[in-house]
Amino acid sequence: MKLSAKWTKYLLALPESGMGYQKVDIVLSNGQIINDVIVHNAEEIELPEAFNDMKESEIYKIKLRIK
Amino acid sequence: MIRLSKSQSEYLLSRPESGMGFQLVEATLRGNNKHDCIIFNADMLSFLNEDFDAIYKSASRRYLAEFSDLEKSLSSDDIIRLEVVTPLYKAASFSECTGADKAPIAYSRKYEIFKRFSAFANDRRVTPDKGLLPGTYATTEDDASYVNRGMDAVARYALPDSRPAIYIFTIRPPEYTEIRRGVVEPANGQRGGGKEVIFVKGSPANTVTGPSTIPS
Repeated sequence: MKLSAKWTKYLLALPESGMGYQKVDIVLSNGQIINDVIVHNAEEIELPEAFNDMKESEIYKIKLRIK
Repeated sequence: MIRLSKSQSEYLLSRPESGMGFQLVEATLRGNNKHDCIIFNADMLSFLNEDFDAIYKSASRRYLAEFSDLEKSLSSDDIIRLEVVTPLYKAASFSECTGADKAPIAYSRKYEIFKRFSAFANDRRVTPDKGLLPGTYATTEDDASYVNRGMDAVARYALPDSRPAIYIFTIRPPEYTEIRRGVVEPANGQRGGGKEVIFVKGSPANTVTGPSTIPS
């Protein structure tokens, strides 16, 4: 999934987890949490298969994972 | 040991210490010979018999160099330039570090060059004015020389992206830019092992060039 400018801007204000990527947890509006998700270049998010149909509007919060 | 002149001491006092009470310095002598030195209290210079890496690893008083014949034959007038090697003991400890995120703050050295590998030509951590955002990762120029292909970078820097990191950005930060230095830990199914650097507060405008490209 490609994130919109709103989330990209948010992620760019946070440190990277490694060269070119961030590890995050995603909190959905329904309270569900998707743990340990990779975001490339602050814009491309690698979702588990089960969430392939998810829409960006369902994202409530993105939290950077602390290693 | 050689007692330094007042102006040399003043210069050293304007530079950071390498450790408590001492500075590691590269001294240029007349004839342009360069020597690694340790300077105590910004005024007593002693030439080193070991390189800085060895000094740090010894973590002991071994860095106290012997009173050499060289020192006996020289005075402060023979030293034409002193350059503090910024907390090199931190920089030198790559092999002993884990990830850069756990490393202490260190500083970039004068003219030090870093490289950043990316699968994206429009790398978003590179600011529009050609700086780096705070918290951005890169590697040293030396370590980057081991990377010939984009997939080499994926393995060496344990990148989670299956796409080859074929875009290389070059970073030339000012001296004393805050960084953390470490070694990439195995992750994301990759072995890691490359050097990694975090630009804690980023790098200022006009310090990033590129990208150049390498084969996949």
